[in-house]
Amino acid sequence: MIVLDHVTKVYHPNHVALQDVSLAIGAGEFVSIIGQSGAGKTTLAKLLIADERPTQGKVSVGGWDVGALSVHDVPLLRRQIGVIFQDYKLLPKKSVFENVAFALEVIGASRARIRDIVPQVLRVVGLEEKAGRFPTQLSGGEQQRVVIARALVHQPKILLADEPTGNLDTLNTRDIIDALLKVNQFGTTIILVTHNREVVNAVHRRVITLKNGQIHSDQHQGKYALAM
Amino acid sequence: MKPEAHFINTCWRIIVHSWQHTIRNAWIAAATVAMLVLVLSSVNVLLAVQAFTNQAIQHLEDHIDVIATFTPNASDTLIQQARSYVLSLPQVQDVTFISADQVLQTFRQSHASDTAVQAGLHDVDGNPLGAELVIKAKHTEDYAFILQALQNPQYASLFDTSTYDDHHEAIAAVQNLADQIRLIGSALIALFTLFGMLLTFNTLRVAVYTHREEIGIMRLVGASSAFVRTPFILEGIWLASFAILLSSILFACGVWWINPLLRPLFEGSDPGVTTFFLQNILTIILVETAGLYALVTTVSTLAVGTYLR
Ligand SMILES: Nc1ncnc2c1ncn2[C@@H]1O[C@H](COP(=O)(O)OP(=O)(O)O)[C@@H](O)[C@H]1O
Ligand SMILES: [Mg+2]
Repeated sequence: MIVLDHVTKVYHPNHVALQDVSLAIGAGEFVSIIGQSGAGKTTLAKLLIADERPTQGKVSVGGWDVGALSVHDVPLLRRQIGVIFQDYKLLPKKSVFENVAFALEVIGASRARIRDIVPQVLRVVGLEEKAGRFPTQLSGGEQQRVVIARALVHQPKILLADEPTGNLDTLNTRDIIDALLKVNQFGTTIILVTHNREVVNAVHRRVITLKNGQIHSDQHQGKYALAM
Repeated sequence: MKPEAHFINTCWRIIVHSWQHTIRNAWIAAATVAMLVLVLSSVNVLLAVQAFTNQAIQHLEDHIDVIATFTPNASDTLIQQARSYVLSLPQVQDVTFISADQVLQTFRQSHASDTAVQAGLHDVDGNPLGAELVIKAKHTEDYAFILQALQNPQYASLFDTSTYDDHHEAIAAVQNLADQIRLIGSALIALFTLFGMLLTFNTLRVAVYTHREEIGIMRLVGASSAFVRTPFILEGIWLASFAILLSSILFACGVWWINPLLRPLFEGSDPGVTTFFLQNILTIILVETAGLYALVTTVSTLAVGTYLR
């Protein structure tokens, strides 16, 4: 499903963020990518959605050669991948429902489809009761679950989450992990980027560790303590 | 979902988005519209001035003529010969013959209140005034030749005087004024257009900046570049449309206000500004719309493009 083949990413002018990274992730997997700040985790995530292009090597997602994707095709790729990035929060002036609907509106979905799907994904993250609220009326964990709902609205085969539990406390973090595990149970491949020990230990699935832009370890049923 | 439905949904949302952009940006949008109105109005004023000076020159040229006055004792046969001769000149457009009696009558009427003149006329036997030929040339530059032709020895003795009022200086003055106005006007239009474009550019940069979060999310969830870009370009089009509407209304008001004020300059005949407006307004609006849309679209694309990559 996702294959990185000897991928190197050098930022201008000569900062090597990823070096000769090769990995393969199969459909339906739940993979955590961990590593210290600056290890190249976000860079890896950006390569998967063609937000950055590899300097060398090949990135392929669901058969697409992502590194060689034309500008026109990038949006089509992104409709296949649900993305959660810390930089893209909720729009404060839109309600929960509108925030999730927005992701469908901008790709031209019909009203009927929006009315149909938005409540479904809100139910998946357990927020169907709070559809009318605004982001400021939600806890941090709830807000983040709305972001997950928004990422799920295209019914993507892959969900890519970069530090989705970033500033959350233990309880809220637990909610997010549960939501992701639930989504994974429906068959969606999950790629979870994190540096949070509790998260990795709670998930107890495959863990890829990055260190200085290289793969340091790749363990099935990994634990944070072992990984580092 | 049917593809048409998809297309209509998308178009509708793009239009709604562009409206929201314009409304949220209301103040800076208003400033931009004002500048664009200034651009269009300066173009319109220049066009009106052009129409007015053309009309003025036309008016002056219509009033150029040579009046050749015969000596009172010139015989009718000779007068008719002289008239045929003048008519035969290729430069001559039109000759009006005014008989001595008519000349006298006109003279009497125009001096009806002047008792001294009336008394003088009474004292004189018969008609002291000669017949006249009012000669109009085909082209203004032909008058000199016609005056020359009247010196022809065969007829010269028949003529008492030949007066020629060529309005030459007036025409030159109007022409000169028109040229000056066109020059200054064009410079102003260029300057205003530059400001207008800069303001439009700035407005769209602000619009993009205001919507940066939405733009980011749109791109993240796979909105097409056209979907992200088009509302901003449409925002430019809205601004241009407002400007065209406002400037056209201003133009109409201006024309209807100024036309009667110019009437005295034309000795009561129509200054032609209103007529010019009615005949050309559709073309003017069409050309201005096309021009402004092209400019605004280019500027908007540049403003948004550099931001969105
Ligand atoms: N756009 C960029 N330009 C230059 N250097 C960058 C850019 N983005 C990230 N980097 C650098 O690349 C390295 C990896 O960054 P990143 O992938 O964000 O790491 P992580 O997400 O693991 O913290 C860091 O040293 C960072 O400073
Ligand atoms: Mg990061």
